[in-house]
Amino acid sequence: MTVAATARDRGDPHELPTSLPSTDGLDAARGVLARAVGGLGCFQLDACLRCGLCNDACHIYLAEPEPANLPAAKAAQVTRLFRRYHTPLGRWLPRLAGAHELNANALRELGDAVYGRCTACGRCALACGIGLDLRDILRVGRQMCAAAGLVPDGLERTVKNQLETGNQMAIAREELLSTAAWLSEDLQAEMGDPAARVHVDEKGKRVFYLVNPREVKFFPLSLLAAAGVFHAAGESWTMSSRFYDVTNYGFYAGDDAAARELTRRVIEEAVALGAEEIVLSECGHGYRSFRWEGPRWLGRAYPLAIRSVLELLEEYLDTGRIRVDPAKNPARVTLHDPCNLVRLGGLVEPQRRVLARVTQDFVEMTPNRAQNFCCGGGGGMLSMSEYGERRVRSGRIKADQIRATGARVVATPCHNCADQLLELSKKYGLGTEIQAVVELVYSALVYPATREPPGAASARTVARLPD
Amino acid sequence: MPTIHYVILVPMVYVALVVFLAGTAWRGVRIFRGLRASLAGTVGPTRPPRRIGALYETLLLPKVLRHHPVRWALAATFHLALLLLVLSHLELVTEIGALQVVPHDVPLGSGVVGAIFVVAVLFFLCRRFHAPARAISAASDYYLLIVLLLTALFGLELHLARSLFGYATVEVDAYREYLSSLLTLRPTLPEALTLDFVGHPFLLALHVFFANLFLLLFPWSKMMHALLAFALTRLGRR
Ligand code: HEM
Ligand code: SF4
Ligand code: SF4
Repeated sequence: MTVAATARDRGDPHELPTSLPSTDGLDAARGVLARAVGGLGCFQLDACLRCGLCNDACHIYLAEPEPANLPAAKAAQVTRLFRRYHTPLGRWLPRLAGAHELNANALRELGDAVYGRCTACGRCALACGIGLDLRDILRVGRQMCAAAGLVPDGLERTVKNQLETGNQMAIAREELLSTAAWLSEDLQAEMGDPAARVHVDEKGKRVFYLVNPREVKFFPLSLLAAAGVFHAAGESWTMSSRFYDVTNYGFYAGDDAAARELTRRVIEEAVALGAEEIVLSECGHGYRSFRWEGPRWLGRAYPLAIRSVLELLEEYLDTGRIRVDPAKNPARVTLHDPCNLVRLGGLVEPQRRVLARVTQDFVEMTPNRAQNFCCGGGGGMLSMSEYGERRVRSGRIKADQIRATGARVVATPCHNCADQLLELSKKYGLGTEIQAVVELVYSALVYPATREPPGAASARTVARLPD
Repeated sequence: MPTIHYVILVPMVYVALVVFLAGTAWRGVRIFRGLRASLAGTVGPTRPPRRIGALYETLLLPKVLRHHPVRWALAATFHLALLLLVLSHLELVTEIGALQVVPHDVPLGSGVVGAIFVVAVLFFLCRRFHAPARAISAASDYYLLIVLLLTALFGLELHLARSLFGYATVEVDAYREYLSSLLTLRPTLPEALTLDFVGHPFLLALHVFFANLFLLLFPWSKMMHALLAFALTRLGRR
């Protein structure tokens, strides 16, 4: 009668991270628990009824219904440790309370649960009768692991990259500049307008545009599409060659200090370039962290406005700054709702209204909007190779959703999701193309000087992705 | 009158009540302090419901209704039966005019409410022995339900014994005398409740014993979820 099955019970001891925390690491993890007591802890870390109403809300459990994947079992990896030290019943009668010592093994199992079995998608919270959000609990778990130095290698490296180089993929400045240069050439050719270009490090522009470094490395056509649409709308915009990363891996790692630093740099860069507004390219957790978490990390409101490119695209359409022809996108398109953008970011409708205007056959998946399932790639999963197989298995729910729509194209306003959806398309034989919303807007664009509509964009997107 | 009978019916009741009230208040204060601290730090697109909205969500559980209508019905039945049972016990302390708006026997429900409650607790308990609930259950989840079940079973038997099997000597007045004497801190045990420590008085001792146990555990267990649900809903994390 254990609160959560141990790794051995699950039969996959090899999937646990191999490193063991030091004594200092254990103390640091205990410290995280102790700091939670005054705030969230006293009512969130000992609240779960273990009623299981949230079980079938979790895509990971639905795809692999094993006990360790139950949302409440994952939460218990944190709460059983909290109960042991910070609740009367857990202190005096630990076995009765289902409380557990915080030792090296418990911490490893915790890491496995909070990094390897949960994408922090927040869907389970929709079903909880008492209003508990397991994300908050699992976040404490990630903070404990971060304090103990147990962040999975891939995730830790990504955070380090981001802190050291300014972008999560450690792309050199020269590479960014050369990508911007050849994209500009392509853009000028496609639009037949020598003024069209990817603007970098230009001062006094209205919009400071942040992109996912994956766009620079693997999905350049989505950056090209954005540049094309901005140009068509007559937008005044620029990127920075130093701090242009919309992602924040400190957020995923549960490392608030790193998250704060990454946010600070970007905001200061935007101010230094004299921009009026930060526009976030399509990114789920980037939106969640810049839009909602950032001011809290910094302890103050931003000195300039911030919004998603999706909102800007809708504004262009509403005000007639761009003209589009949906007939240029005849294939059936469905929309994936990135958890951090939609359920947890509150940006629900602009992308739908945009797609309805730039495509001919737009269909919703079921369920959609706030109820949508995670693609399986969230929560930093994509950067943790040790969980790669689990990640693909958990994507089965999303794959089934996509298949049921009969769509040829999946639009997704997030490049992390795009990576996962591309892999799902291959592994589950969906035969779907994955496109960012801005790419579909670009290919529907009616620009006076357009010579050839850039319809073949997505095929090249796939071709450039490494295996 | 055996000492143990007295211990259960008098000192243990006092201890249980004090622990229950003090413990619940202590946790309540901590919960609402924590709520205030956390409210400041929560960010996100959904604005938390104000007090009335939170109360509505806490009492009617619209989210459970949406995702699990059958479980919602079961939970509603269980909690309603519980509420009626608590009210009926208040009537055992003293006559409450307001409750007699709908005229009924005391205790209310003629055993039907108790029976429904027992069935509901049995459901919750049986559920815990099966996957997947079993994998997430802690020991206390079982014990709490068992204590609740035993309390309810003996209470039900007490009631049935009185009305069906002619323990007619035990009238509602006997309970009223006993309970109000407890309240006025001059505990007396009417003879009808102690006679020979067999039959009815024996069942009563068991009923009160398990009820005491439940009260003793209440503040330290997840039974605080009524308050927690309200606090969490106010926090608006969805
Ligand atoms: C208004 C406040 C309350 C709310 C919102 C609430 C909510 C819930 C919910 C959502 C469940 C889970 C139902 C399920 O598993 O299908 C539950 C179970 C339960 N509730 Fe409440 N409840 C409240 C008050 C109370 C009170 C005051 C008690 C007091 C004794 C209580 C006793 C229980 C018990 C014994 C269970 C079964 C637990 C189990 O399955 O282990 N509830 N409640
Ligand atoms: S947050 Fe998402 S992945 Fe994590 S337990 Fe809940 S539903 Fe599952
Ligand atoms: S629905 Fe809520 S209370 Fe029930 S097991 Fe899930 S998180 Fe815990």
